[in-house]
Amino acid sequence: MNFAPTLPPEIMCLITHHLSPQDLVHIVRINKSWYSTCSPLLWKSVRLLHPSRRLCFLSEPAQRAFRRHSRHVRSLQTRFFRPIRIFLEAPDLCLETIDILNNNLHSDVIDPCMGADSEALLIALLKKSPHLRTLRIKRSPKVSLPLLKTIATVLPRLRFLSLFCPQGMPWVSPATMKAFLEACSPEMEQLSAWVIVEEDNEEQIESTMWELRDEDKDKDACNNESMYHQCFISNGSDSDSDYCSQDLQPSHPNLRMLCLSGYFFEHEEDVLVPFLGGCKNLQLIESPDEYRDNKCWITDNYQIRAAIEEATGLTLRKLTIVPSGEQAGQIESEITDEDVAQLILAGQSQRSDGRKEVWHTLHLEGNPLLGPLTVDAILQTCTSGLVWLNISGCQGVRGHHIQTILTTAVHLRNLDAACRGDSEATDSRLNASQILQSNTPWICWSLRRLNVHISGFARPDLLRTAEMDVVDYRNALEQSREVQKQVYRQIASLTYLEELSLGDGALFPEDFADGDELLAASGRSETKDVIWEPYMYGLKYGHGHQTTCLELTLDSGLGILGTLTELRVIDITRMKHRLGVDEMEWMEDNWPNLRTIKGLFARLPRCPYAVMSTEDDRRRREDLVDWVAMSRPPWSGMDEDEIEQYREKRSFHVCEGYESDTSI
Amino acid sequence: MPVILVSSDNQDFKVDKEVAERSILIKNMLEDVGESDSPIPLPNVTAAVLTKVIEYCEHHRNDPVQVPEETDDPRKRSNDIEEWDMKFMQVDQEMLFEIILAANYLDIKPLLDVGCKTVANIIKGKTPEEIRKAFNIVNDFTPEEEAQIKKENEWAEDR
Repeated sequence: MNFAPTLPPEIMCLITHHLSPQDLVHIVRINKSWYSTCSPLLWKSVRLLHPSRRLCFLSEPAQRAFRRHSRHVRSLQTRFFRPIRIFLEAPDLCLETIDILNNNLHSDVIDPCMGADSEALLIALLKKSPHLRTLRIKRSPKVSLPLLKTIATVLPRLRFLSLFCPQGMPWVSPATMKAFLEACSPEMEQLSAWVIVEEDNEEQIESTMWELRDEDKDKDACNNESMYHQCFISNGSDSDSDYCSQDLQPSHPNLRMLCLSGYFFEHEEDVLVPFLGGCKNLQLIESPDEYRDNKCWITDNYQIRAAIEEATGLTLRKLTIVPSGEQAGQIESEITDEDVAQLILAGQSQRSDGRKEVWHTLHLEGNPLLGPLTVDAILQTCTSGLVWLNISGCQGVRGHHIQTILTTAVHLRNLDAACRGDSEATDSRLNASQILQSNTPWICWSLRRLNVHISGFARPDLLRTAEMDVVDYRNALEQSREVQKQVYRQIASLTYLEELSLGDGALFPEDFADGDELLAASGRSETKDVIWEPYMYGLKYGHGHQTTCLELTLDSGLGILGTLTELRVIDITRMKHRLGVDEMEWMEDNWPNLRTIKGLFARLPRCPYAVMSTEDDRRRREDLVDWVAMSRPPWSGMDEDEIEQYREKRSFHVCEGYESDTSI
Repeated sequence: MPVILVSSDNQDFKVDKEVAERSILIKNMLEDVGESDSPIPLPNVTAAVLTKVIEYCEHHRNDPVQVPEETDDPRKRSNDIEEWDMKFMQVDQEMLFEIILAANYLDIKPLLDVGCKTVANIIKGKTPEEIRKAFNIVNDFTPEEEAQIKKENEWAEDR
C-alpha cells in the first residue's frame, strides 16, 4: 500500500514535528507529495553554522528554492552575513527570530566584531522584519548607535533581546543607552546586553545624532526611520491602541528580566532610573560583572534601588560575608552560624503597604562557619527575589539543600554551590539519588550560571574488570545511563544556561587562563581573577578525579542537553568524563555559542590526563587528541605546541604507576 | 452509564462513558445530545480499528486530561513513548495508519501523538530510499529532479 495518499497532509505535518532537520532533508526527497508538504517545514528555520553549509546555501539551486520558500522562513540562525543579502531580496519575508552568532568556528582569530558592511546588512534585515519576536546578536558593531537605534525604532514586536557577548563589548554613550532602553519595544519581556557605557569624544557626536532623531520625532518631521516606525504601527493589527496611549501606561509593562552586564562607570543613574520607572513587572534584574568589585549598583546605588522599589514594590538587598582572615568585610570576622541565619531572616520582610524586602544577592563563598541554621535561612529566603547565590565551599551545605534550591528558587540567575576540598566534602555534592528521589523539576528556568558538583553515578565503565560478566556489565551500564539521563533532563530544562561548571575549573587559575578566556581577560580589566581567592590555596586538595560524575557521552544521554543553545562555557576539570570525537561534533552542532571547554584534557601538572584504562578508551582519547589537532576549534583552548606536547606524552596513558597514583 | 458505539461495519461496542469520553468528538456529541442511550455511529472507523482504539482508551481511562500545549519549540518536544503505548503500537503499518486516522477523526490527542511519534521513529535516521522501502512508497521523481532537490537542501544537512 502507499503511505502518502492514506495520510492527509496535516498528519504528515504532525509527524514531521518529531523529526530532526536531517530527517526532513531526507523525507522531502521521498516523492512529490512529501516534497510539497514538508518543504515549507524544512525552510521554517534556516541554520547556517558551518562554512560548508554557507556555501551550500549560496549555491544556485538553494537560492532558487529559497525564493520559492522565503515566506515560510521564520527563524534565521547564522554565523555569516553574506546569506543575509539573499534574505533582503525576498519580497515576502516574515522572520520571527534572528540569531547572529560569533564567527568562531575553527577560525584562529576570534573576532567578536562585525564590519561596516555586515552591520549594514543586519540593519537592513531588521528593517524588513517588523514581526521579529526574538533577536540575539553575539557580535558587536564598531559604532553601536545605528544598530541600537534600528532595534529601538523598527521592531515594535520584539520580546526577547540579547545583545553582544563578553568577548567584545561595544562602547555606548550614556545618552544612547538611555534613549535605546526607553525607546525599545513596549512588548519586551527579556532584555540582556553586554555593553560598556561611557562617554568619549567619538560618542559625543553620536549622542547628538540620537538627540536629533528624537527632536525629529517630537516634531513629527520626516525622519525616515521614525516614519517607518509610525507607518508600521498604524498599519499593524490588533494592539495599535496600546502604542498610542504609551504615555499613560508603563513603557515596558511586560519586562520580566533585565540583565545588564559590563560596565556603567557611574552612569547607572542617568541611564537606568527613568527606564526602570516604566518596568512595573520586573522580577529579575542582574548585572553580573559588577560583583567583581564587590559593589553592585542594583543593591548599592540608592537612586537605582529607589527606582526599582517605586516601580515594583521590591527592595533588593545584598549580603556579602568574606571568610575570616580576608580583607575587612562588611561583617565582623567573629560571627556565628546563628548570627548569619538571623541576619538573613531579618533582611526579608513584607511590609504593610504591600512592599517587600528581599535578598537579591547572597555571597557567602568559602565560609567554614556557615552551618545548618544559615542554610535553613537561605532555603526560606531563596523562593522570592534571590538572583545571585554563592555558597561554594560553605560547610553546612548538603546535596539535598542544593536540590531544594534548584527546585524552589525561581528567580535565580547564578548559583555557585560547588564543594571545595577533598573527599570529606562528598556529602556536600549534589547526589544523583537526591535529584531522582525528590522527583521535582528544577524550576530556576532563568539560571545563567550553574556551578555544582553532581555525583553519585555508578560508573561501571570505570570499574570494569576482566572477570566481569558481559551481561552484568551491560545491565549495570544501562542502569547507570538511565539515571544519568534523568539528570540530563533536569539540566536540559535550564535553557538559559551560559556557563555550566560540573568540574573543579574555578579552583585552578592555570587552567583558567587559556584560549578564549585569556582573550576575554586581556580585553577587559584585570579584576577578572577575583574568581579564585587566596584562601583556596591553603586548603588541601586531592589529586584525583571525580569518578562518580556524568559520563558526558552521547550514549549516556548527552544529546538531551541539546536545549542548552546559549551555553558558552562548560567546565569538566578533573572529571572522569569520556568525551570523544562524536561528542565534540555534537557539541559544535548543538551548542553554537560554545567557546570554552575547561579541563578537556585535565591539564594539571599532577594529573595530566583523566585515567583511561581499556584499549577502547585509549583509542577514543587518541582520536580526540587528533581531532582537536586537526580542527583545533578555539574553545579547545589548545595551541599547536600544546597539541604536539600531548601527542608526545600520550604514552602516559598506559603508565601503570601513574594510574595507581591517581586513583581515588 | 455505558455508551454504545457503532463501527462502520455495523458492529456495536459497549463502553463506559468515561472511556468513550477520551474521544473529544464523542464527548462533545454526548454533551450535545444530553442523556440518551441511542447508539453513536462512527462511519469512519472499522470494527478492527475501533477495538484497538477502545483498548487504548481503556488503558488510559484515568489519565489526567492533557493541557493542550501547542509548542512549536523543538526543544520541548520529546520522542519518548511509554512502554505500554510502544507495545500497543506494535501493529502492521496499515493498522498503524488506520489508528492514526481514527485518532485524528475521534480527536484523541494523546493517541494521535503516540501514533505520529511511532511513524517518526520509523523514519528517523533512514535514507530516502530506506524510508520508501519501509512504507512501500513509489518514487515519482526523475533522477534529475531528485538530484536537484538534494542540492537545494544541502544547506540543512548535517556535516
